[in-house]
Order: sequence, then C-alpha cells, then structure tokens
Amino acid sequence: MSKLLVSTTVNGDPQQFLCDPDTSLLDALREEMDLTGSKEGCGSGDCGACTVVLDGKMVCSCLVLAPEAEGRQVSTIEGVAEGNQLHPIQRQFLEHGALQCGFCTPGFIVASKALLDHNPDPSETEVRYWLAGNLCRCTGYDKIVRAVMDAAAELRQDRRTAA
Amino acid sequence: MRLIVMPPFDREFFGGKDTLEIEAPTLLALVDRLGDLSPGFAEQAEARAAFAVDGVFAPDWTRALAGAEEVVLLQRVAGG
Amino acid sequence: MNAPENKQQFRLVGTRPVRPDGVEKVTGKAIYGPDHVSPGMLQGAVLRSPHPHARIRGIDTKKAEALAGVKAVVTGQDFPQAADKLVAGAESASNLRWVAQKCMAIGKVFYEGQAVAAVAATSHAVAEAALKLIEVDYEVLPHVIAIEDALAEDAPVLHDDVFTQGLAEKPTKPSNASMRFAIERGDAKAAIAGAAASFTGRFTLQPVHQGYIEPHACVAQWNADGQAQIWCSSQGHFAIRAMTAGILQIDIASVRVHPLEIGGGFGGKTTVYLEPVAMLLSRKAGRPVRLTMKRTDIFRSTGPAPGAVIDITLGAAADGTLVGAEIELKYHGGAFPGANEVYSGVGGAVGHYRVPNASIVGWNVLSNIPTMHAYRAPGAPQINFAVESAMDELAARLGIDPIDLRLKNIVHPGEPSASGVPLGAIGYAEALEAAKAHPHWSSPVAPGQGRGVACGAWGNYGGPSTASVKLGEDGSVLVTEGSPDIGGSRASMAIMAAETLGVAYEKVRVTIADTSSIGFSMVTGGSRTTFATGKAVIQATEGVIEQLKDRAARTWGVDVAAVTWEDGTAVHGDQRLTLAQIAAKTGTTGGPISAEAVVDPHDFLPGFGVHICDTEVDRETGHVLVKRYTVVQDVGRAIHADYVEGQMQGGAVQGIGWALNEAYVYDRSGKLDNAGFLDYRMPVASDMPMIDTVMVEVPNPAHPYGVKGVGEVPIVPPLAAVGNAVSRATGIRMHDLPISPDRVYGLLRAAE
Repeated sequence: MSKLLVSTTVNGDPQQFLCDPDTSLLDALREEMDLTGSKEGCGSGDCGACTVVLDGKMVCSCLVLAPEAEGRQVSTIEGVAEGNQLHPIQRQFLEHGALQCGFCTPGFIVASKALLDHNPDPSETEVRYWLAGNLCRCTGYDKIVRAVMDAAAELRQDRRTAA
Repeated sequence: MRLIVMPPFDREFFGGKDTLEIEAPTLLALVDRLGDLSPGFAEQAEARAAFAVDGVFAPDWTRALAGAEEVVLLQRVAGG
Repeated sequence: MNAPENKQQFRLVGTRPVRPDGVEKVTGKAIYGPDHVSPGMLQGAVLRSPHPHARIRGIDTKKAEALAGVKAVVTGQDFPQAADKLVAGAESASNLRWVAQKCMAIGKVFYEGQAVAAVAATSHAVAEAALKLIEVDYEVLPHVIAIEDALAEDAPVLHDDVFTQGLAEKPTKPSNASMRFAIERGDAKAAIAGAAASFTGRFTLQPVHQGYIEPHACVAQWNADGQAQIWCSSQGHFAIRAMTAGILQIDIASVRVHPLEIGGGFGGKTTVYLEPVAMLLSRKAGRPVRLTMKRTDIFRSTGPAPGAVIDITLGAAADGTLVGAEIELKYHGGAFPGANEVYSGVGGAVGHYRVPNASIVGWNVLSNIPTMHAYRAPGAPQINFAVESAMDELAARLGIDPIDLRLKNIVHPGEPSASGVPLGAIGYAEALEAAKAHPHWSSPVAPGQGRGVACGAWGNYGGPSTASVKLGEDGSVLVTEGSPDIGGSRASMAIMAAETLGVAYEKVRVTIADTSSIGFSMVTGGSRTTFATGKAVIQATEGVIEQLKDRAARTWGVDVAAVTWEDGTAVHGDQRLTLAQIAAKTGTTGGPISAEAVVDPHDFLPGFGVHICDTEVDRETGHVLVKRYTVVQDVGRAIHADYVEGQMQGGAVQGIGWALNEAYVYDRSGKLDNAGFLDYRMPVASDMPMIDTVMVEVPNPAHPYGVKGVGEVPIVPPLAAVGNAVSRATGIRMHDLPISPDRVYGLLRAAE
C-alpha cells in the first residue's frame, strides 16, 4: 500500500505528511505531526477528546480521514493559545478548577471555543447541549459549564471594550 | 490480652472463634503465635491482615503490646 | 459554590489557586499514557479471545512471526508466573497468579476479550495484520455470566482448584462462590419479627465500568542486561513496578517506572494489564514497545465494578430506631478470585448506623466476565443502594422525615465502626444537619417530581508515602513525591508545603518522580493521597524548617532552641533571616538544604455524605431527568476547595450514571454487547444540572490541616438518592438498576 502525500494547514502553519489512505486525521496529528494534545478516548466519535476544527467546523478527528485534510485548515488545542497568551477559555478552566485529570480538557476547550466563536452569549442549556459530545468522567460538568459561561462573559466584555 | 478476630479470619483460621485470650510481646510475635494455632495464617496475614491496638490502627508490627488490653484483627479493604 | 469561611488561621489552606500542572493541561502539552514516544519504538497489538470460556489447545504463531516487520510475538507460554504469590502494592494484596492471567491467558480463557497473544512490529498496521495470522485452537466450554446462574447446581465451574473461602467447614467441591464473608451480631430474625415496621426487598445491579477517558497504554523497554524502564499512566507506579517485577520474576530495582499524566482511573488503574506483555515483547524484540488499548478492549478486559443481587430486610421500632438488619449480598467476582468488594459491602452495609442485631452475609461469585477491579468506594454503592432504599421505605411507613430517621440511627464519635475500631472525630451528624438546613431540602417539590435523600460512608485510608523537600539556592522550594496527580493533588501538596513553610504558593513547585527517584508510595486511591502523602510533604517541610533554624542559629551564634520560624523567617529577638537569605548562604553554612519523610499513617478517619436529588419522570417515555442535586459531605478540611468540590460533583455524577444508564449488557453467547461509549451510556453535560456542594468541615485532629479524604464517599449515596427520588415521583419502588427509560416505562404501564 503506497502512502499519500497530504498538504494541509494546521494552526496556521503549512504542514505536509505521508500517510496510509485509511489513517485518521487524529493519528496523523498525533503520530506524523507530534501534536498529541488531541486525544483518543474511543476512536468512534463518542467521547470528543479528539475534537478539532476543520475549515471552521467542529469535528471528531478520529472520524476524519487524514487525506481529507488536503488543502484545508485544521485548528487543534495547540493553536488555541496565542504563543504563551492563554485564551480566556483556557484561563477560566484553570480558575474554576474545571479539570481534574485533564485528559478530556483539550477536546472541551476546542469545542467550547467553537461554540463561543459562533454564539457569544449561550445559555447554560446551550452550553450543555453543545458540549454533549464531549465526555468528562471526573468533574460532573458543573465547573466546566461555569468556566465556559464566564469565558463567554469575559469575551463579550473584551469585545465591548475593543469597540 | 484479648484478641478480637473479625470476619473472615474467625471462620477461615480459628474455627469460628471470634475472641481469643493470648499473650505476645509484639504484633509480630502475635502473628507467629496465631500461625502456630492455625498453620497458613502467618503467610496470609502479611498481605491481608490489619491490627488495631486499643482502638488505634497499628501498621508497625514491631510495636510492643505490654499493657495493651484489646487487639482487633481485621481484613484490609481496598479503596479506589 | 459553598466555600467554607476561611477561618483566618491559615493563609493558603482552603483557597483556590491555579494548579501547578494547569497550563500544560489546558494547552495540550501534558504527556499522558498514550502520548509517550521512545526512540526506535515498536507498535504492539494484542489478540483477544472471541469466546467467554475456552481451553486453548494450541497457538500457532509461525505465520505471524514470518510477516515482514514483525519483531516479536508472545503468548501465555512466555509468562513465568503461574503459581500463587501475593504482592502488596495497594491496601490489599494481589495474587500474581491471577494478575498474570488478566494480562494474558495461560492455557484457558475465562472471558471474552481476554488477551491470548501479542505482537510487536514496525508499524501498527503490520502488528494488526500479524494478529490475523495467529491461529488459536480453542475448545469452547460452556460459559456463565449472571450471578444466580453461576451459583446454580449445574453451572459450569470456572476453576477446579477454587473452593469457597470463609466457610467453617472446608468444602470438598470446587465452587464459583469463591468467598463467603459475614458479620453476625445479636438475633436479627427475632428483632425484625418484633419490629413495628419492616421492609423486605430484593435489589439488583449490573456490572459498570470506571469509564476513565484515557485508554490504558504503556511503553516498555527491557534491555539485554536485565534492566527495564516502563512509561505509563497509572494510579501508582510503585504498584505497577511490584506486579510487573513479580510476574516476570525480576528484581524490583531493575524496573524503573516513569509516571506519565493519568487520564482518570477511579480505582481501575491500580493494576497491570499491558505492562508485563509489553516487557516480554521488548525483551524478545530488543527495542521499546508501545501497547495501547482500544475502547472496546477496555470494556471487555479491564475491571468493571460488580453487579449484585441483594436481599434485605430492615426492621425499626415505632420511633424509628433500627432494631435489626438481615442482608444477603451476592457480588460478581469476575473470572478470577480475589475481588475485594464483598468485604466492604458486608462491612459497610449498615456501618453508618447503629443496628444492634445484624446478619449480613456476602458471597463473591465467579463467572465468565473480567475480574472485578476497584471502582471508587469499591463494593459500597451496591449495598448502599439496597440499605438506603430500605431506609426510605421505613421512613415512609413510619411517617418519619427521612433525614430525621437517619439522625436517629447514625453512628457517633466514640462508637464502634464497621471494622470494630471506635470512630474518631467524624462529622456525620453535622453533615445531616447541614442537609436538613439546606434550601434544597426545605424547598417545595415541584409537581410531577420526586425528592430522594440518601446517606453513605467510606472508611478512607492512610498508608505509606514518601516525599522530599529541597530548597533552591534562591529560596524557592521543590517538593518531590510519588503519588500520581489525578485531580489536582500537586496543588494540594504545594498549598500544604507553602502553608507550613510560610512562603507564597507560587514559590513551591511539585514533581511526581519515577520509582527510582523517590521512595515507595502507595497508589493514589482509597482517598489517601492528600491525607498520607500530604503528611509526608508536611513532615519533610518541617525537616527543612529545622535545618533553616539551625543555619540561622549558627549564623547568629545562638542556641537553635531560641530560634523560632515565623512566616517564612527565622527569628531570634530582633534578629531575622528570611528563607531566601538563608538559602543564599547555604554554600558557606554547611551545604544544600533538603529533607525526606517516609510515613505510614493509619490515623485516617472515614467520611460521610448526604445527597439530595430531585427527579422528573416522563410518563410517556419513562425517561428520568435529574432536576436538582445537592451533595453535603464531611470533608475534614478542604486544602484546595475547587478540587474538593470537584470530587463531590464528579463522584455524584458517576453515581447518577450508575443509577440511570450504565450497565454491562451480555448477549447469549457471553459477549459484551455494549463495549463502547455509544451504547455504554455515561452521563453527558446535557443530562446534568449543576451539582450543588456543601463542604462540612470537621477536621481530622491527626492531620496538621485536618484532612480526611474526600474522593470516594460521593459515589456511595447517589444510587439510592436517585432511586428514592424516582420512587417518590412514581409511587413505585425502584429495585433494579439502571433505572433506564424502558424499565421505568414497563413499571409505569404495569402499575396502570
């Protein structure tokens, strides 16, 4: 089986990698690009630990074939902070203690950012349903939901200040 | 000194007796003596038994038992 | 968000600083079990049995070995450990004979998904292809799954050398009932016969999984000189070392286990499944080998918590005083003997109440499913579901408020605990009073809803831990410990060290060291880490303070007894030297400052919780929605309040999942039918309300900051809290878990 050469953009940077046709985007990120922040919890799209954004759309990277990334934009947890400047969602997760083991955290943060990028003022119910594809076994979700709500408020405030 | 043998050790090693009158200078010596009473106990005790001396857990089996009134022998229970 | 009032006697204890490992974990930099890479690493894969019970007549690995890229193949025949051998590592010992077979079948398979062979190859694809070339000749045997089936006269007996332990008379026939454990006091039957009210019922539960999101994974490297390294995530790398070295019969000192970040464990990561296999592959291949489980492997081959069949009768006098309990509980044991849950199930059944007459008999029942492994308060939630449901029925029958009924019967400090040892400074009554005073309890129950309450307890633990504290030349502080951080414990250790030393939290950095770099520390489990490892950290910090005072005393030429340590500063009269000033001079005052402490404390105290739950039942679909949930718990004292609340919330939601959704479902051929997160339905964010928490603080006097341990208690009450709420919403007693829509629908239709 010969390998495919895939050219894509990950967190704004051009990337090229070789992969088998049936390699998942998750495996390509983790094994070919050393971006191990995206996690595999199930490999079947049920846990959300591998959540990335592909051309603006939130996806489970374990359900996307790596060759599908050809010519497209991929955003992962490694691109959420700007350099050493944490995103407000990341900071709110820390301030709320919204992680215990932290394994699901990258997926939750990427998913939360995808939510707030298109809905700056979600209700608690909207947050809970948006994040229903992400499993967390440690926290019971309480502090995660609070962190996302507070990050949303902070981002709205930032926007008002900037305007 | 009174030894209270909690389940399952009472049935498993001492024919269902849950109280023994027994003297020993230390818990280590007590384990040896119980091993004499019931062959096989000493080996199992190493991995399974816990002792409380007069109401306080005693993980150090070199502890002297002089003056102790009651020792409880119980099964260790695992947590998650 | 019920932060305790900071009573001002502490600067840092009880506050909520950002955890030291936080930034790495929110940016994706933290390295977990499946993330570690060793140079030249091979990829491994494991072949698993499709049969729940079979004899292995032979395994032909020749074709697999011949495949290009395959570097090693191992089977059960490569395992040296086959005899009984007990090793300690956690609170209770494990028999390596059985632990080895949880890693790989030796001659016989006892459950679907048990490993039978493994391959290491140059790529994952080659390893998977090689598995397909391995030929296993199985003689399929009759299997048994359910508890009652396994106890039937004609049931297939799993082991011909397992006889029921704990019988007065030594049995002559082997049995699937591997153990009987009982507590008898007074005359339960007579007491119940004379009771003003009694309740009798049978309760059933199915096996459930711990459900950590991180799969088991490891990299092992076993060199020709006999020395080995393992990189893995676990709840205790010293336990991984002990079991791996024991199974492979090599020296403890030759195995160095590096703890990676752990993505959840809940008790399930206190044993080995992959490590000895990866070691054997590595020795054969001469290269490091990675093994990772798929989610389906995790469900099929790692420790679930036991299902149960519980028969209970509770009797009470007219004023609510409990007079007798008659209980028989049968717990799943899985494929091999050694599961511990029956001990805590029997011991803890009514351990949180005074019951003068009790007959509590427990059985560990083997069948063709994976061997049970610890899951948060192992053995307690199952029996608590039956006991607290029965308490709810008694309250209703006697017309007594359910919290008042409990207050009337609870154990108090000084009274004997379940283990026979008197209880210390417990805060059970305080927790119940706090629940009674909570606005949730006094709020009106909304129409169509039901409110349930339940109590629960866990003994907690202490045990061995090692920590060292070293000063940097600039006065910053390095804490090194051996307890994996599963939920913020680095932050708690830093708080306790900084509080003791009198320095800022940010001046303290915490490292969790490998097995060759710090002394033995028991697993992170049993709600022991903040208590026991915390004591080690505090003791080592006090050792550093003694040295600091000594340096100051010698600098001033005064007696060290005349020097005190106040807020990070050595003080003698008007003279003061700060920690940083002393640290800067260590080069000319006797060299670097550090101290190590090895502790083995057993003055831990149990924890008690009270949960209040409101549910709404959809009468059309049978769906149950949790509308409001409150967790009240005696936590001793919270070191980092966020992570204490987090334990209470997370434990409660695991318990709610157990009550409403989660269950292992086996088909007729003995195969697990729902070995994935789609069909094994754990709670998601949209299923849950906020989980309100009340931290009741009754400090443990044996810990410098009052720690008791909080992690396990919160999974104990939710099963009955939810069950009681649904029973009150529907008027139908919930006897069987999970309380899934189809079950509720059936009960509602039958009642019409």
